[in-house]
Amino acid sequence: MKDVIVIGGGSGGYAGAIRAAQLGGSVSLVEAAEIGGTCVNRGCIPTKIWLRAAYLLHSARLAEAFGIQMSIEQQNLAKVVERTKGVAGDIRMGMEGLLGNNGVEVIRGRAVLKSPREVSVEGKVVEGKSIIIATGSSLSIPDIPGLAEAIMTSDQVLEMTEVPASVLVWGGGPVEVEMAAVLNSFGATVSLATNERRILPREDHDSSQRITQMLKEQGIDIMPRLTLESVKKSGKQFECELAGSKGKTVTVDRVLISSRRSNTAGIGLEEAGVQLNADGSILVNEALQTSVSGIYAIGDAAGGWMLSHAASSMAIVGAENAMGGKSTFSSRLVPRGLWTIPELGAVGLTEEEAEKEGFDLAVGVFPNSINGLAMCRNEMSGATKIISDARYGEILGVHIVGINATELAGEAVLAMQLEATAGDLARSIRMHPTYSEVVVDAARDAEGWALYLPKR
Amino acid sequence: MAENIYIPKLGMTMEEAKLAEWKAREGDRVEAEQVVLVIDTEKVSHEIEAGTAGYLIILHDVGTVLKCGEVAGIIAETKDEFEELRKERPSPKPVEVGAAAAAPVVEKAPAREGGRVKISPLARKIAEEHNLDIATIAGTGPGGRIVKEDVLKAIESPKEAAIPSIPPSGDVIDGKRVKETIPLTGMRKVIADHMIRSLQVSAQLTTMGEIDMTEMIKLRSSLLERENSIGVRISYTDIFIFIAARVLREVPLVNSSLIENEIRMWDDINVSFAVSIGDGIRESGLMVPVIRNADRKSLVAISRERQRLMEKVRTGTISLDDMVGGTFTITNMGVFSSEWSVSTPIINQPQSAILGTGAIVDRPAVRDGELCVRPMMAVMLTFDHRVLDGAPVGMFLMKMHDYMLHPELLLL
Repeated sequence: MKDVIVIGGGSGGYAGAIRAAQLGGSVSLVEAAEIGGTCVNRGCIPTKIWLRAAYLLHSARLAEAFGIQMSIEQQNLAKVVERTKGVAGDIRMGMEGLLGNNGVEVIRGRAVLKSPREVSVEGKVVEGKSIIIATGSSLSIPDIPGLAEAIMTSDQVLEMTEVPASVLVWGGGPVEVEMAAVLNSFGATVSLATNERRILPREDHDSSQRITQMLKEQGIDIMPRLTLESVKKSGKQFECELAGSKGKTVTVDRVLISSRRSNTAGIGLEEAGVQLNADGSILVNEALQTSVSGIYAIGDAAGGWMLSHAASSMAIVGAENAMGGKSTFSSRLVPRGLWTIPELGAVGLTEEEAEKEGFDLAVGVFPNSINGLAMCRNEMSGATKIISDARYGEILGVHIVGINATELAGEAVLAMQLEATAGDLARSIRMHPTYSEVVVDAARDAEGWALYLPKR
Repeated sequence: MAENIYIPKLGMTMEEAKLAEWKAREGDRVEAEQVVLVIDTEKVSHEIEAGTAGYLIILHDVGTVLKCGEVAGIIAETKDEFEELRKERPSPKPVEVGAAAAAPVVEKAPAREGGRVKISPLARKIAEEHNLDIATIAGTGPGGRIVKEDVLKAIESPKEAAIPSIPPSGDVIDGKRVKETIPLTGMRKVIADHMIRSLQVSAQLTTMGEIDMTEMIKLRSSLLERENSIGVRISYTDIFIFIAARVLREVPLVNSSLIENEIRMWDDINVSFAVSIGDGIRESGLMVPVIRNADRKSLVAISRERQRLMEKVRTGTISLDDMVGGTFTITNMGVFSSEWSVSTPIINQPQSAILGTGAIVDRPAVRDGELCVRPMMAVMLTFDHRVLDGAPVGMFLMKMHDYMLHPELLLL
């Protein structure tokens, strides 16, 4: 009997298996497809390679301001795809090696829960004192008439060797936005429609607005408050009917879908008594325990932020608890970002959320246009916004739009985790000239003494 | 230059003291006149000042017993000196829970470790605004760090969030609700330890009687009338001390101590008298100063001495020397209640007897075969049966009786 059985070898399952092994547990990890899951094979890794390629195109244009005239001779998409496969393969190999190094038994096959202590992998039964479900999520194609034929999935974008001439991106979440950016960078005419009031509805409204502005400047047509009702084939193209107060029909070559749904069907959860949420994700408490004692769920399978690092952080807590610990997971400090141009890096509450929680707010904003390094490097779009509690200076949320935002967010997470106040951040020294100064400057603005902004 | 904090010799008989409370934390900057340490001796609690300004290094924990002259702590002159000395003598660390690689347990431990309180900047800010003593807040953050949540809890329900070593008020123990918790430290502890020890070592029993105070009342009234020319206000306690001292001269066995299989009959007659401290409602304490050679002092001298000692008790300046060396104790419990009551006082070790007196109350009495009303006072003599039997005790009480009914005999 194993101490822990981990179902799924993606970001969550992998980290959880290693953590449980570190704590002295005997661990089996069951994977039906490739180690690395979505992140390595179809998500984070390939998308960031594509977005880097897009950035390099962008910087070729930027070079002109530095007196360097670059012209793009060729864009070999197949090479980009090759790179994604290569890097993914390297990472997979590393992961498999580390699992072996930690003594984790990897079982290939599809797991089904037989009972709270048993997992059946294609006939073979494995027993475990605890089970961690890390089955992740998959593409979920909405039921819209005519859509099926027109679809280009995010998986397909990442493997494309040819760019469609025009694409309608349906949905305004982070994946859709990045996909729109990639397609646009490589020459497609992109329009994005969402039934929400703005793209990135989970982000601060200012972040949404800034990113929307940047995407528009890059030539992407953003269309909020519209619902994709139906798709009709028209020759080689597709007519997409978008309903709303400003309803319209757009004709495109492809419709991009990247909505996802937790993988919780057909793995014996209902029979074992594991309760699900309305959206199909697994219900867990802050110890990441499901409704069945001894069964834990992490990552996309448990819903929430559905980000790779959320999965791996939950994995640590899930594994520790599966090994008898009493850790808890709070999604409060899960940062999220976009590797677009400019980037987005955010953690904590949005301004609306903070207000709703009853805080009296002190908000500070600092634009990249006056950050020294951003000016040097001609990367001046974006701004950093810090939301703090006016009474104690508690940092409630940090929202960075601009170059390197995804890196800068890490510092914001640390500040919030250690309960530093906006005042502490405002007095923190940063090297000059670096982008990291924006966080300090925004904090000073929140505290009311921004040195480099005009008096209000 | 660093300065040592020594355990002082507060009295001739003092040999050791227990560290009761550090009033400052390891690493705190203290001023010369600041009290940094409280020690408990057998008789009294004593505050020790830093003696010099600087940074405190704690060498021994609360509860350690040190001999007079031993070093309890050090005041380092500078922060550098502090670090240097600290390295040489690291303060004791709390026991770690489980192995390093084990799954972390949520620790609700005090965040103090040798004095430094682990607290996040935000939590500290909130605590400061609410005037909370962060040393009393239990931390649930990493390594017992106090985080925002802990402080908010302390604000909402102060007793719950406190370090749970002392059961907080509002708690229910054995089905009873706690109103208030007073730690057993300082004087209270000294009294508690002494009382139980006294009952354990000696074979105590109490002989009770009552004395007709008619003559004593007359005597005292007369003295009070002449208070101005006498120069001092004589109390009943003064009179009892005066009389008891002379009776002890006549019954020396009662003025003795059993020490290691030897009964020492003392030449000196040093009468201790009990002084109550506190309002009696929320605070209750007891000190027992000594009037040395009471048999050789006049009534006025005894009264003066008694009043001087009571003033010292009142102002907290009573010293160990004022309270050692007693050979017999009087406790006047008549001051507590004007109603008739009897009790069984506990012997003040290492003495062999203690005399308790009650209130003077009009009681029915028989004189010449007739029922009448007389002012009577209960007397209770608790004695150590290892040393004394009925005879000396009876004699003592009879003589007390005699002198109180016929004070003219004291002139002889």
